[in-house]
Amino acid sequence: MTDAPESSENLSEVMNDAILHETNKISLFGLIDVNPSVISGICVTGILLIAAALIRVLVIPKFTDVPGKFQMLLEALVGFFDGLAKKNSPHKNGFLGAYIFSAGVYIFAGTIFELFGVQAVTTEGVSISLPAVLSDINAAICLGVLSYLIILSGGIVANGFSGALNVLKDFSLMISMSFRLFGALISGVLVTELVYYAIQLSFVLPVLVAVLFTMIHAVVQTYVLTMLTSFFYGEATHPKAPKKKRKAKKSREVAGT
Amino acid sequence: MALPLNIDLRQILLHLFNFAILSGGLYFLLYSPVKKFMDERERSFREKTETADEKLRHAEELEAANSMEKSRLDAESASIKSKAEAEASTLCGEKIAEAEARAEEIVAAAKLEGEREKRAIIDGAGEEIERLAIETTEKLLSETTYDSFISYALSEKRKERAGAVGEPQDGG
Repeated sequence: MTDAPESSENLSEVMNDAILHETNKISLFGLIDVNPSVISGICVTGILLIAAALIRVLVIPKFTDVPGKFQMLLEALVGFFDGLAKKNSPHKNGFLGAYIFSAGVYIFAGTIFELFGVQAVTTEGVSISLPAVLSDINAAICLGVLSYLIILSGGIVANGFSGALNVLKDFSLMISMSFRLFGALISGVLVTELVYYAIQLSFVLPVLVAVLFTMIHAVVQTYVLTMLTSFFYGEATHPKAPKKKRKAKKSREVAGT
Repeated sequence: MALPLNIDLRQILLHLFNFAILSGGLYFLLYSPVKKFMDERERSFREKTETADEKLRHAEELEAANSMEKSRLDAESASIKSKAEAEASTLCGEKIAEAEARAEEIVAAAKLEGEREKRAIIDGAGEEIERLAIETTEKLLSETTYDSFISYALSEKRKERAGAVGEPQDGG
């Protein structure tokens, strides 16, 4: 292993900045200073929307019954999230499929985005590479809370007040989903930072570590969040058994005993 | 209010706003059209499958009906055949009986005719014999014959005598 260069930050500062983003801020259109992941999120959204618009205009009208490779990829992508929604939430899944599709694409693209090393200038005039979107705890909290609210709304729509109560008792789900996302992403970032910091003279390992960790996190976190959301959504929207039947069953059990 | 871990409500809302725009855009631009196409294709394939199943079921029904009709026609043809065979057999028997009766009649008629002809022949033969006997008798009894007979007998007698003269102690 080699020592870190004298001019660079020490390990503690690197870790602290990777987790908290307290030092490197970027001005958002001159309005407010934000963490770099906000800019990453905006970039990812812009890229995805442009790509989606191009696909909508150029590719989708040419869809055929016998799909080509790209059509097959798109159908597999949509079919995967739609199938996940239908499998875990068989009763109500129309909105859930659209949500987990968006969330999955956002998490995957937002994590992969880190690999491209898009540069941005901080308010202090330092050029930094834009990080993964979910390496910022605010983005993780946003997705965790939003997923929880979606589950809650599904419970209310499906089962009314009792559905809402059923979801509210799992209040910790909101925190666990947020911090699971953040923790998983940040662990990869930390390991990558460690490798960069400790063996920065190496020219093979950092590349492998960065790419592998990023790809694995992108896939795993996409699957975990969408799967958990659809699972809890399905649980919340599961129709309750009628009370009369339960009473009748209970009375039959009492009569049987 | 400063929150730990650099949690910032404004930035959370910014992420939320950003994600809402992305979700809406992806839904209308990508998810909905692709899903609509997939659902439409699935519906189309399901309809085609149902149509094919319906046609298959219809074909099977037709095949069953045809099979029943065929068996009915086979039974009917077998009945007609057996009936025709019975009628043919009856007709044949009648014809044979008629032919036999006719043959017997012919044979009987032939016998009668034969008897009649035989009798006629026999009758005719008696007359002929009688006639021939008369003629023969007449011939036998006619002078010419008798004379020639006598002459022949005399000449024979003379020959015998002449032979006896030529020889010693010839008796002629």
